[in-house]
Amino acid sequence: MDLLGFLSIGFATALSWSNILVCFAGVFLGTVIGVLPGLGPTATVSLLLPLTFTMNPASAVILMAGIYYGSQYGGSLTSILVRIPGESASVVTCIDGYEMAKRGRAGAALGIAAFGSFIAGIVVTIALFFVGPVLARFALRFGPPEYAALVLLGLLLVTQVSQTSCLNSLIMACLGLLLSTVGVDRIHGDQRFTFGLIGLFNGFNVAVLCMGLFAIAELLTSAEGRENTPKPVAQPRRLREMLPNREEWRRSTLPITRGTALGFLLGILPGGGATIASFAAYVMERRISKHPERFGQGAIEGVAGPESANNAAAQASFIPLLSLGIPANAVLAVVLASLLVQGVLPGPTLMTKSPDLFFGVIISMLVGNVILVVLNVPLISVFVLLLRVPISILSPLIIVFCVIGAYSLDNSSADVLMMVGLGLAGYLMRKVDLDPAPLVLAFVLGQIFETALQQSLLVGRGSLGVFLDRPIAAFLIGCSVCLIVFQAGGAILARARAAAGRGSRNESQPMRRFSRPPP
Amino acid sequence: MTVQSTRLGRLCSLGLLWAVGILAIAMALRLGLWRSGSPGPGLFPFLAALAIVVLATIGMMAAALRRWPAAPAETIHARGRWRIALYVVALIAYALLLEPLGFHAATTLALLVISRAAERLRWRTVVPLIAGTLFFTHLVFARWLGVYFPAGTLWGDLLG
Repeated sequence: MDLLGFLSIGFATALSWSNILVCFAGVFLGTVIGVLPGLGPTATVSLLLPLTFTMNPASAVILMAGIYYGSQYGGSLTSILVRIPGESASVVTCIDGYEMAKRGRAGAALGIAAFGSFIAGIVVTIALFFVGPVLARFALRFGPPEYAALVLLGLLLVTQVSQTSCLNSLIMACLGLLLSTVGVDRIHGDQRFTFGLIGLFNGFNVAVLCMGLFAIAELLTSAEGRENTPKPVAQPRRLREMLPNREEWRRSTLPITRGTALGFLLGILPGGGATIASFAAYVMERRISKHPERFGQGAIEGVAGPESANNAAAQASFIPLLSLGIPANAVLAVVLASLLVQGVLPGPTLMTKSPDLFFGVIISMLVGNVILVVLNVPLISVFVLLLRVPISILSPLIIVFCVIGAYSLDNSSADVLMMVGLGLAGYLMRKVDLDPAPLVLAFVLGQIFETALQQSLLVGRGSLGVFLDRPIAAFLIGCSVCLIVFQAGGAILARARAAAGRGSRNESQPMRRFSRPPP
Repeated sequence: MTVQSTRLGRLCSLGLLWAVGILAIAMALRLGLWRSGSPGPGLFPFLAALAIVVLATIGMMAAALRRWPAAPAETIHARGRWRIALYVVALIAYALLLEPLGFHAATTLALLVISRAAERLRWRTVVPLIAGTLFFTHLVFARWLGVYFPAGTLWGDLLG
């Protein structure tokens, strides 16, 4: 069958009334659970798993896919409005999205997140249709050494995201890696850093970590300094004024394009996904920007790039799942489980054996993205109303939602206690200028990194030469080395310049020698 | 102004991380770095902890050698300190009482402390806030999303 034949089967499947309804339900539910912290797409898809057994396989995957990419947008809503990432892929949106909200541009940030996600979703769906099968074959060349090298590069890039110094970011990233090892070792079964506490046997949950380090820490910080906090800037009242203006669109066009391309590439790599894509897009935008100082101060590029990238990656990650049977993350692992229960074995032959499923799911993403933008853009003015609620009323509500989110993960108050402890730690980290964002991403990547490193060392019989023998891994390691050299060289050069500048100032103004230098 | 902008603050924070790294190295070594021809459970934590120790040492050396400006006093209102203390107490109590008292009673208590004592909201705001929160969370989480709320072990014991 040719591509046109597959296309017509895909449209026939996706545009049936039942599948449009299923898609709408998935996207709506995804947006809602993305907004609610803690109750992430993994938990929701797991809860709905028994329901999908009564559906046909295509409808089941369409529903779960809708929840997944709907949650990417829902997660950005709370990131922008109250600095609580509903999803790990939305962590990076907090940085500039929340700053934009504080400066009266919450509507613009929400608008660009919605339109960026929409554009990325449409472009990626079309791209998936044509090049997905080819790219999926290339991804087969990725083995453990390539994954390990990719994650190492990702971790080094994470340190560029942070607002604090590179050294601080690296320390926090290493701490994140260390925290990811807490719990029972998956290979040997040994307990690591559990101190005999049952609550730590399964390690830290990423949702608990995010809610503690971001939401609870933010609440404590705001509770302490409320007397010093300036009144929030008034948000525009009319939807038209809230949406991105011409200048904001101009600044967002290229970040959306780049974020889409990057998200697509990282999404189709097995093991890649929305979280890595959003962080990588932020780093890329900050690196190539003529005004990197704007990032962290409410740069719209810092919202447009990552939001496009995470939606692009979320959709592209269905390709390794359907064509290779490799889930990129926990949500897709549940989707895989649903397919296996129904007797559908994802793999290279799925495209020809079940074209209605393969192409129906891809075309349904077009429908889902249209629903997402139609559903969310008119609601921006409603979402922005949230900012008018005084923080003294919002704070107790956020605490209750976080507690429900943490408790619902495992029906255990140990998770709630852990979240509170992490919240206190996050508050203290802010006090000493340590940014929790690199810690969280390193934590997410830690398990992938450890598994890939262990497998690589087994393949290489303990020798690190395995990373240099394989061209893709060697290239990625080379990129990491270059990044470290440039970073260290840049820091030394900047320090030398600063010292030279101080020296020349001191020579021209000898009286200043006795005054303290600026920090 | 953060604590980090003083030499002592910087040294203390990095010193704490350094100590965490050393402790983790000791525990990782006990777990084993290599076991029967394959990487042991301690290898990855050892590498991460070693990196923490090395980076924290560099940071402490840089902080010790750097010239620091005199730190202006941080202004935190007494009411801010009181509020944050109440938040911390309420959060810890909420986590500890969630299962013995059940979700509804523990939430009511936590909201009461936070909104009335910490935020000093009026009763006419506090009562609808608590009632609305309980109603909304029950409807959305318990009824629609099927999230399990603890009913409270204490009540069963008390009522026999």
